[in-house]
Amino acid sequence: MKTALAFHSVVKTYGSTRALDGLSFAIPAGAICGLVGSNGAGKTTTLALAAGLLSPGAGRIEVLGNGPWDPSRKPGQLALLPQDSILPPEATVGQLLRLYARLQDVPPNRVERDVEEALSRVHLLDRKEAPTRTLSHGMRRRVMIAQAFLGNPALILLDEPLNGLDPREAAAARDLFASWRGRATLVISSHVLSELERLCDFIVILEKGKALHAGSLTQWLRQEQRLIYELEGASLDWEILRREYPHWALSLSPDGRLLECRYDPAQWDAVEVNGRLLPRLLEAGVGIRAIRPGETLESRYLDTLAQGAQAHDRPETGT
Amino acid sequence: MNRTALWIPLVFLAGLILGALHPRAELRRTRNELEARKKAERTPPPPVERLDRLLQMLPLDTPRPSAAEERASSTPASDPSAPSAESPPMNAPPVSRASPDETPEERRARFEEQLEQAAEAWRLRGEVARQTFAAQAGLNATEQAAFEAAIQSMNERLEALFSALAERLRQGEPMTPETGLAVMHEASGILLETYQELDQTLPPTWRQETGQNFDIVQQVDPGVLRPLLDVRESLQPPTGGSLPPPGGRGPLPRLFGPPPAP
Amino acid sequence: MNRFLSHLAALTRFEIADSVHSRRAAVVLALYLAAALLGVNAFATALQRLEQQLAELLQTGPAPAGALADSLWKSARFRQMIVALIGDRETALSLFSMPPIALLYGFLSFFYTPFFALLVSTPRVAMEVYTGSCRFVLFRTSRMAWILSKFIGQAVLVLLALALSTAGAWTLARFRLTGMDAFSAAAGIAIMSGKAWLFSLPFVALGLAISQSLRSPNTAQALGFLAWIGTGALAWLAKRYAGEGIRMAWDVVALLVPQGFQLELWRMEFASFAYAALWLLVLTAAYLMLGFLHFSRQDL
Repeated sequence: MKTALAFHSVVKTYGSTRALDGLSFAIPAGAICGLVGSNGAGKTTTLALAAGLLSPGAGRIEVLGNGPWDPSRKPGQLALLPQDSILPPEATVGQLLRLYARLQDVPPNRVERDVEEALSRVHLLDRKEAPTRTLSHGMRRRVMIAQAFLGNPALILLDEPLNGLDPREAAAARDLFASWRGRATLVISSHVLSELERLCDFIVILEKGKALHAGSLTQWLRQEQRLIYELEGASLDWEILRREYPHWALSLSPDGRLLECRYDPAQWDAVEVNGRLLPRLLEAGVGIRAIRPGETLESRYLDTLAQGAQAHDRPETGT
Repeated sequence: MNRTALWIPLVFLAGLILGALHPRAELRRTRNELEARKKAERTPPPPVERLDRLLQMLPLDTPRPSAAEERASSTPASDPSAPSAESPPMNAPPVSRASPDETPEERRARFEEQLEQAAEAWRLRGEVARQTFAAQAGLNATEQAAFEAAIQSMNERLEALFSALAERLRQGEPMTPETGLAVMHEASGILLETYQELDQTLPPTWRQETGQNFDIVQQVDPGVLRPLLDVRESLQPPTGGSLPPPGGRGPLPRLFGPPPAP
Repeated sequence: MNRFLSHLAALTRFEIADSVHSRRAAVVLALYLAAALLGVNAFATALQRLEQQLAELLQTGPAPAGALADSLWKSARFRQMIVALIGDRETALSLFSMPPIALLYGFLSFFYTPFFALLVSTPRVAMEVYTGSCRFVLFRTSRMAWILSKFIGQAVLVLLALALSTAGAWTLARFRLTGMDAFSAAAGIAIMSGKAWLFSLPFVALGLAISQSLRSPNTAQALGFLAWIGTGALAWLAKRYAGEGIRMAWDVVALLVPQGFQLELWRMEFASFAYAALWLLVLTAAYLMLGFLHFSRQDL
């Protein structure tokens, strides 16, 4: 499997602050990867290093299999939506996107068309000749999203892309990202874990400059091994249910709102399990608010953080 | 871009600087030597007070000093015809001054130089006067060219007049009051004809427009007098004449200016 | 190389358009034009007063403004006097090949244009680093192309300012000095304008070098102003104290600042001009590269 982006023991310091502390991960080509971490974990630094805007203090970065990113070597193959960056205020939206398209090696006869297409996707075609200083924060954000999808990049780095977007535009942006699945590798840094859970198929968890986890999201959430039911008004004798289904591990949360059913994926699949369990629950008068496979990203992430903290706090035992 | 290539302009600059140091030092030494020599040779120029002192260099306006005055003047500054107020430029030959032992050739050269200086000042004055006249009279390019042509023709005819006079004097004809009057009559006629020519070629309103400011005598080039340099001695009236020539002590009537103040 | 040049062209076009629309540049441009026009106006007033006095002296009556100055300028006698006053024949004769209004304009533009160049160029890179807008560009193209486009764009802006001030100064002089030779004045002003542009290039490069080294546009602009004063002071000190031995270090200083070649630019001989042009272009490249050596490794 080709790798779109790989970090090998990368270290980056800002003065005395160690932003990345031996970060290592590899993102396969074609994936939509979520980059998750708490504030100061190193997400923005990671994306900036990948785009060549920062230089690592140590370690090795491989972008599209070719070492550190150099725009002169593979122009137009990488795109970035940087965080906390302001578009030039006096230029019009059209001027900016035309410039970016040309720099992205879009053929001259296609520049105008690509620009209009990008603006249409973010519903800003009518603002093509408006100076960026006249746009609202959300509109500027949409322009920034549009510029990241100009040309035909193979790797697109998006740092907090949905910040400042209204719900309609956020949904449109998610659709746009999803439409590029298979065409390019997307790396999306976000705090909105539910969005990432819907979009991503790969996840990298950062904490204090290190990768706590990097791998398939599905596997990490153990979606093939669990079903979770959100209940309401449950009044079932759960022991009876357990006795009825001994080959599955059923457990109820203390507040009675979540029922977890763990099963062996070698013998069962989620459809089969649900087909048997759901009617039984409905028959027992249990209200079902939602059914989802596996854990949520948020709960899994918090668990991972906690485990990481415990490992850090555990006293070392020596003999 | 290879980072080594970024150093090329800096290395090139360093090379240029190293190469330029020696020539600059040499140039500075040479300049210092030249300055030192100039300082040693230079006499401080007298201040130029008024530009009209240039006009005083015109030899015909200035009475020829008597022999007693010439013997008495032992310093160049006492020669009234010498341009004492003129600042000699660094690169122009110094203005010569009269001395008691001056040979005729030296005197001629001195008069020629004074005439040339006066002519230059008069040309400047004439140029300004012409431009002033053209602006005041509202002349277009054609009329201005006609004006210039009329003035040039006038100066050429005056020069021819004085050439003829010089030739006659050279051939031994004495300079009598009558001769002087005839020359004056002919010169005045040339000036009057020029006025008439201007009336024909310039707009009819030119006299009203220019008012009293236009004086055709200002347009006469002192260079027209150059032919008389060789026969300056002959311009003195013969001894025994009882009547002073009109207009002053000099034999040649004052054509170009008021009589000097007593 | 083709890609580098096409990126450079696209970036330069954008930079020129962005600079022209920049409010900061517009204000500075207006101030520059005002300074040039005020200078020409003051010169015309002083010249008219002088001409009036001279006309009274020569008893020529009132002359059209500028006519007497033109006549004097062409007079051999007057030139000899000026040569004596200046003491340097070559420099004086160089001055006489230009009409006086062109000399005045040259003096103004040589004085003001470096200041203008530094004011507009110093914030350009620092502002984009400060706001992060450069990040949208610098993952797409090389930093060298971007910096070069900044330099070319700012140089074009200075050229535009000079063109406008040339037109304005000539028009004002034509209006105030009706007697001056319009064609030779236009040619003279245009020549001095071109020389002033050449003289300003190292200052554009110096401004961008300062801008590449800082993240604050205001600090960069303040440093640019100090650089203008500082280079002038260094040139003056170098001229005064250069000598033999250890004092040859002042020769090196004179060769490192653009003002060290100002006299050669004033002269009309091609050899002097070529000498000054070569040095100024080398200084331009050196200043720009010095800044880029820092910027090429800077975290953005």
